[in-house]
Amino acid sequence: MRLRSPSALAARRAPRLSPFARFVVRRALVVPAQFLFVLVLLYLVIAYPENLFEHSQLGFGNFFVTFYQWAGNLLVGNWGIAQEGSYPHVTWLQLYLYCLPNSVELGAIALGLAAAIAYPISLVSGWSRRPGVDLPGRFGSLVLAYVPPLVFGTLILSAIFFDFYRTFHDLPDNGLLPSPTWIQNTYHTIPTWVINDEFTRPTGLPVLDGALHHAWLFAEIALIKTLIQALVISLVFVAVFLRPARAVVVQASQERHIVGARARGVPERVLLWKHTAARVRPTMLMTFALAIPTFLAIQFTVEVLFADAGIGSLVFLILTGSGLGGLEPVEVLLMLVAVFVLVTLFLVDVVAFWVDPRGARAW
Amino acid sequence: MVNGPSPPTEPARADRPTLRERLGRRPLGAELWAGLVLLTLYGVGAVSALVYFGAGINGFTPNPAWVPPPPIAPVHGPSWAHPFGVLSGFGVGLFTVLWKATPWDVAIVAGVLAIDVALGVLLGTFAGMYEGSAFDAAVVFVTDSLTAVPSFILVVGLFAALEFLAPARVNLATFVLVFGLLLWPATARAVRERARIVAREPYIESARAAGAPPRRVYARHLLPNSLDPLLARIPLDLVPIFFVLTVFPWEWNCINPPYVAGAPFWLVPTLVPNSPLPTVNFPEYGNLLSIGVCEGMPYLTGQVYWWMVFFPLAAIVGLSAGIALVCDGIEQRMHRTPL
Repeated sequence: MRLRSPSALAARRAPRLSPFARFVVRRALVVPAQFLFVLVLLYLVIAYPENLFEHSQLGFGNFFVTFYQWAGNLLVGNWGIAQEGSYPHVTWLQLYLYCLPNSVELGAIALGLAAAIAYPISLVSGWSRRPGVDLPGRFGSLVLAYVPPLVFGTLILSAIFFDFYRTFHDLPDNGLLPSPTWIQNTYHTIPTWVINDEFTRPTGLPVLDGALHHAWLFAEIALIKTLIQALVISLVFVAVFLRPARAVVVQASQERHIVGARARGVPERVLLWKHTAARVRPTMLMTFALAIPTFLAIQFTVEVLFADAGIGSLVFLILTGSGLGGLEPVEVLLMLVAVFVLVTLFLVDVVAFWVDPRGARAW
Repeated sequence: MVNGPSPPTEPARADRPTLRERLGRRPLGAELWAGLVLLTLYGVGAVSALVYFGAGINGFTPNPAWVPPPPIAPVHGPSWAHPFGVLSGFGVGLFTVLWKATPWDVAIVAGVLAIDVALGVLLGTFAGMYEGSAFDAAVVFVTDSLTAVPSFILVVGLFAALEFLAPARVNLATFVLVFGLLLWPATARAVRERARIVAREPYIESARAAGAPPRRVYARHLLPNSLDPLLARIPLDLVPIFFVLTVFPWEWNCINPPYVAGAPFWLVPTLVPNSPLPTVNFPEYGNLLSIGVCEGMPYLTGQVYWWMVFFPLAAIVGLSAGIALVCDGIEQRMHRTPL
């Protein structure tokens, strides 16, 4: 009988994972730990003070019990009931589920637009040393980043308000759906698939639902409203995103292989769009993912400005305490955003590793 | 006696170039000059406001005749009497109230950035220097986890929680502390990335081989060379500060104003719940801009009273741009191209 060495046996027993799979597994294991950390943080800074106030003497021993109960309620969707405001006696879970599709539709279009605008602009701005490109890029991003989205949004709203009204006989600041007056005038009744003048059925996505019910004019107005808001969000976001993205391109443009290729006579166009673009893509993706909380802040503000029935409007109602109950909705919101960002960061890390394994982060 | 490598020696004091000589060799760039001039203006504005207004710096008294918006009340644009015009809603001359707000906003920005930079640089560089250690893993884990929580919601949520426990602590000092503590993770992450690359550079290895103690390697070589990302990061950290200070009063007063029985139909601003500001009549750039947007751009009438938006916005952009220009200028002095 032929004897095998221990290392050969070990290698045979444990199937070797590829570096990519190993990275994905290692990285995936970190996400639950990060989520738990965020939950503990939320409990400590928001829920525990409220509990202390209500029950005055909780004690250290009860800390874990109350945390367990609190986290359990949060995770199973037992988030309580909205008490007043426009949505009385509706559970928070229902309210979030109602508002989510509007925000998802707007966010998805805005994110796509922002990426489509930001990527080429930051590449060109970081690459070109011509004053006509570099200076406007740097100073434009510098100044525009500090203009709060509400100013930018109000300016655009002021600019389009009357033209929009003349064209569609509808108001642009009345949410993503056409206004109830417009619906009444056009269809002489409120369609059964439009709920509370704010939401649509069956998908909840206004453009898609309009198209599904062959209400083409409805879908067209909803789409144009969505595009206007998405444009505002993406333009503000590009100003914020441009600065770090440009920094990534400037650093990449000074690397040795680029300088060497230039010395050999490779055209600037090829250097930028082939070599540098490929080099900066993972870092750009990472910068983009890290800027998602900023993106959400901008989107929430735009939703409020345009009176959308989305998560953003709900967030501001909650945060300014407009009679919608205690702090549970804030905790829920932070948890949902944290989950969204953690999952996005995970996906971006995986994509970044897949695009360029050298750029793997310290996982 | 062991003949080890001798530690690197400092050049004699007389051999070092003076500041004038250094500036002569590498003059400050236009951006650094512009930034320094802007920040000096804000500094002078802040100090002069403290001296001129004294105890009256923490509030302003509205003129009731100016509170209703145009056309109910007459419009007061920029004039010799009111160089920046009058802001309806608050019913105040914008020049005086922006001047009063300058020391507060300079202090808020300086306080937040001081905490953010101190924590971010210290933790980021140590994590980068000892890459792979438990400390590094902890810093990376905490920073990545905290990045997932939007600071603007967490600050407001935390203030709402603080209202339950210690209402007296809901103030500007706490706001500065909390914001500083929430912004450092992004700074630390960026600095750590740079520090871990610098820690592998040949000159660090040389310094270590020459017998320089870790403290000296850190302070003399690693720290100064790891600050590039900080200069790109600082200007971005100003964005959420003014976002919170502007957007919440705007939403509260202009979008969903609270119903007050017997109140006039025009805007009379009230303090947003859990606000760090002590009163609604507290001079602060964001607070003024929020009402300025509301009163200056009523798109339903088609009128624009530009000064109500422009001057508070210019004050915010000027202060932030001053800091950003200084950062860009320093970057430009360190490298050929600013990042």
